Formats: sequence, C-alpha cells, structure tokens
Amino acid sequence: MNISAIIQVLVEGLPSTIFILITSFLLSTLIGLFILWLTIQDDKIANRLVHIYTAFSRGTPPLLMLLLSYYELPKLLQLIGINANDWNKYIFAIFGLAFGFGGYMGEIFRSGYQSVDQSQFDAAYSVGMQKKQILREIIFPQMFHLSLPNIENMFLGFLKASSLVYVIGIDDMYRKATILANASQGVFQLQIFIVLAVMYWLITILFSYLFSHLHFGKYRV
Amino acid sequence: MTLLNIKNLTKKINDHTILNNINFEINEGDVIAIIGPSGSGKTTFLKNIIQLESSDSGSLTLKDRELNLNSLNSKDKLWLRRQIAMVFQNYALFKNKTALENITEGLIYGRGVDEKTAHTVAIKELQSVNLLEKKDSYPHELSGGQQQRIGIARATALNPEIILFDEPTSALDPELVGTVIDDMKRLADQKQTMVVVTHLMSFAQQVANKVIFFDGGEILASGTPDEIFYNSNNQRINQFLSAVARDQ
Repeated sequence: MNISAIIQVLVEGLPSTIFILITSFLLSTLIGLFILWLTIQDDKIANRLVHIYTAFSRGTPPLLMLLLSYYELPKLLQLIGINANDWNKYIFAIFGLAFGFGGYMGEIFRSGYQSVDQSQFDAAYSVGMQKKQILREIIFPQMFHLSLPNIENMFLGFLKASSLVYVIGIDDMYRKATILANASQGVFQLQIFIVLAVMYWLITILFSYLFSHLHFGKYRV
Repeated sequence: MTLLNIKNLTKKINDHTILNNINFEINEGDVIAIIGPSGSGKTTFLKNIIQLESSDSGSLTLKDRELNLNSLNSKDKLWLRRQIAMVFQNYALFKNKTALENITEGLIYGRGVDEKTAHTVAIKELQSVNLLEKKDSYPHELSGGQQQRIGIARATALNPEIILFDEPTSALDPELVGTVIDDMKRLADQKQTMVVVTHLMSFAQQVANKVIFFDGGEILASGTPDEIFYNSNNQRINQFLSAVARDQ
C-alpha cells in the first residue's frame, strides 16, 4: 500500500475531524463564557455551581464524557419527554467534548478576566460608564487578548481529543486509519499511523499559523 | 458659593472604621489639597465622594441636590459621577484604547455625546495638554507623565463641576512631575474646582487655597496653606511635616 493511497483514505475523515473540532470548540467557548458570566455575578449559589461543574469537568476523562453523552444523555432527555434516540451521533460527540472541556475554557476566561487591570473599572465608572458598557468596551477585549495563548492551546487540545469520537462510530481521520490498518491485517499499521500523525501535525501547524495572525489590536495589556 | 457639602461621612470595612464622621465643604473654584500619612483614608475619601466605594452613613449635597450616602441607587451614583471626575494615581487609562479614545469613551458612553462632537472635544483637550501628536498612541506607548496628562484630559473633557486627583504625581519619575503639575496649575487658573490628595507639599502651598490634614480616618485640621504649614500648633501635623521635609 503506497502513501498516496493511505492519504486518500484518511482525507475522507478530515471533514468530520475539522467539523467536530470547530463546533465543539465553539460550543465549549460559549460554555466558558457562560461560566465567566456566572462567576462575575457575585452570587454565592452561582459561584458554587461553577465550582462544582469546573471540578467535575476537569476531573473526568474526555472519553468518559463522550460515552456518557452518547449512551446516557438520551436517557436523561427521555425523562423530560425529549426523544433523542434518532439524533445524529455528531450532536452527542460535540456536546460530550464541549461539556468535558467547558470547565477548562471557563478557567481560561476567568484567569484572563482577573488579569485585566481592575483599576480600569474605577476609571470607567468615574467617567459615567455603566457595567455592561465597561465589560463590552474595556474589559472583555483585553480579557480575550490576554486569554489568546491559552485559547490556542485549548484549541489544539480539542484537535487531539476529537480523535476520541471514533468510539461512538464517527468516521473521523483516526477511525479511517484504524479501519484501514485492520483491513491490512496490521501489515501497514506503522505507515498508516505515521501518515495519520503527520496529518494531525500539519493541521496543528495550520491552526497555529492562523492563531498567530489573530489579534485584537496593537495595544499591550 | 458652596458647591459640595458632605456631612458625617463614615466608612467601615468589617468593624474597622476607615472614615470617621467626615464633614467637608468646597466652594466653586476652590483648590483643596488633602495631605496626611499613608493609610489615613485620603484615597478612600475621594472614592466615597464619587461613590467608587460605598459609604456607611452621611449625606452629600451638590448643586442643591441632597443625597443620603447609605441609600444611593444606581441613578444617584450615575448622576454624581456626571458632576465629578477623577484622576488616578496609576493613571488607569483604558489599555485597549488610544489616547483619543480614552477621552471619547467617557463622553460617548458616560455623557451620551455623539461621536463627532466627542472627537472634536477630545482633540481640543489633547491640544490643551500638548499631546495632540499622541492621539493615536496606546497607553503602553506613552510615558508615565504623558499617560497622566491624558488622564487629566479625560477628566476635563467631561466638563465636571469638581475634579478629584488621587496622588497624581506619586507614580511619576521626578523629572515628569513638573509637566503634570503645570497642567493642574492651568486648571486652577481657569477656576476649576479641584480636590487634590498629594504628597507634594510645594503644590499644596503654592496652588491650593485650602489644606486639609487627614489622620486615622479623620480630618485633624483644615485651613489655609499658611495656617497648616507655618502656624499650626498641632503636634501631629508638625511631626508629619517634619518627616516629609526630611524625605524631600
């Protein structure tokens, strides 16, 4: 089996890998921002909920989250009258990964928020701005700016974690590779996995390059 | 004519009294210097005036409107902050905004001024602090003195009744202090009402028409610069002034 034949098969799984990577990352970002919003509410119950979720999310393997999402979430939804048995398995994969990594995203945004010089709050209040305006105009842009390196790390972590979706039967690059390796009785397994590793590595280089060109202005925080 | 009158202002944190029954009055055009040792409550007092920190009791009368300081709602605070501006010790410029935007933000969001007018006002204020050529610079591209002068321009652009200065020169290199002091003198000449917390006794003597000495969260003495600096019989004040004179 030559290299181009291997690449041809693995590339068939590329759209699934990229789709799951981007959608689960975006959903996880939303979860992280929601956690941040709860954190800055100065509400004891909200803070407690955030603490429990973050500890749970960070303390459980993403593979377990995927399996729970795929096998147990439909049962939970059934309890409230929602039939999720016919839902596309991508939904459970995306939710499992996003929920599993949401706690990390929340922590990234929280540390970014806390790193913004808080005296700017006083200055903004003193010129008559209100909290929503201050967050939107002053604090959040700086928070994203500060969080960007950690967000990039997280994104690349999602890329690697996306390979776990093979366990629920999604044809991503990793599953294509294992099927191909099994079909060749393991004879070409090494070549196949080396090609797979190079493909993940190239995707990482591509997204790292895109992140390096992503910035929120010329300012320094 | 009395512009601002504060009665019986008290501020506590847990059981610790930070400000104890402060009575304070300022007339239009006054420049009041507040001096005193570190931790005596000077900055907390300024922050209570503009309500960046809440007060436990007391009342504040400004432009014939009396506010009960321990029951202010958000509208009261907003109204208060639209009459008073503040310049901060560490400049507190918005780091993601240019010098020009640092001035227009307050005008647009705090005062509801349209962008074009805000831009015109900001340009005028930058000219008055001789920093027009820095209008597109971000705070990290400015020196400490330039940042503080932008901070002053941000405050004056709002055309407030009173400007509060919280040790505006204490974070600056000695050679940059003069540029900030010059801007404050210009404002004093224009009869801008100011309350200045300062460690610069020369500023208090030369520019202020009234000096207040804070110690232990209380106003220990107040009077003209001559009364405080040269004719005070208060042992604590003389002890403080001697220590400051030794260090300067």
